[in-house]
Amino acid sequence: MDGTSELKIQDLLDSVTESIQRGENTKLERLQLPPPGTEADELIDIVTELDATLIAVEPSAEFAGQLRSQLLGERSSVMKRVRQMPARVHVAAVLAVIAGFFLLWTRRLSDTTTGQDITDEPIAAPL
Amino acid sequence: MRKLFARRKRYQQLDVQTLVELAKNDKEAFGELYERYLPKMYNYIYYRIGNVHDAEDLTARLFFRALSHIGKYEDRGVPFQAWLYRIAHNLVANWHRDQGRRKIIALDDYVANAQNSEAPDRLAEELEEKQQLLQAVRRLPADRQQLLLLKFIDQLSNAEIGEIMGRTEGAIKSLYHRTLMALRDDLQLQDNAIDGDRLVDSRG
Repeated sequence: MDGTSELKIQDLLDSVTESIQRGENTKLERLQLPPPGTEADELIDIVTELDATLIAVEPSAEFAGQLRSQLLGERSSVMKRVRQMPARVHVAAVLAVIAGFFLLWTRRLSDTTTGQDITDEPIAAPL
Repeated sequence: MRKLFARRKRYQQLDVQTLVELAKNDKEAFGELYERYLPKMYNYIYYRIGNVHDAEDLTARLFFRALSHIGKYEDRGVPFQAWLYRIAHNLVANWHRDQGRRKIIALDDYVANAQNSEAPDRLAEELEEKQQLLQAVRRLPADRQQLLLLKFIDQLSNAEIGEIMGRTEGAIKSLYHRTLMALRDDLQLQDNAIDGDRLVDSRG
């Protein structure tokens, strides 16, 4: 490929890329596109595929907010931090609280029973 | 609080150079730079790494490094984002080195994000083609990957890309042409390899 034709292909690829990105089909139709099977035609196919594949992604709002807070040293409230914790941490915390209450309740129950046992026992008369 | 909001609003209207100078002593100004460049940097890292978890980790490291070094930043006529891209490039290169291999990881959210109402077979085929293309992109040298991301994700002109990558507009045009040819050759090679495998399988 000589220098002139290479420059021509470069210009064509540039124009086609711009048109594809802007979704300007009419401009694309006006461009003198190369016949199928030629090198330029194959490259234009790749440009179209790249345009459909390389799509901007958004970082999650949670990540963006947390990182900003960390960078700027902003103090987030306890409730905010708790809300940002994963769901499994929430479940574990609820289970821990329930288990705690259950433990207290069973202990109290056993204390009451023991207390009753003591009071139910006949007091030995002093000799 | 009202003062803080007023300052934030004022910073939103400032140009990057002024913000950079302010950010050397003022974290709120750095916060504005962070808001402006987070999406670009995240995309660059995400497409070069291929998974959300590591992309978030490296993006965080990038901004912490930028925050700690911004005091030493000097404006030498190169856009501020070129400086950020250089830090990102180094972090990504270190990440690949630490991995010990340039393994190709499927972009984990890519399938989830793809929305298509066409038949499932066609959708699966399209996704496979896109995965193949992404893998071919990630096999390219770092500068060519950067060029494609700046062109297709940030939709920058050749002149703007040239400023960031420290090359002339003509050099970017030429690099783009060579990059597309390299991608075409790589994809053809992969197709031939797949066809070869199928032939071997059919012969038993």
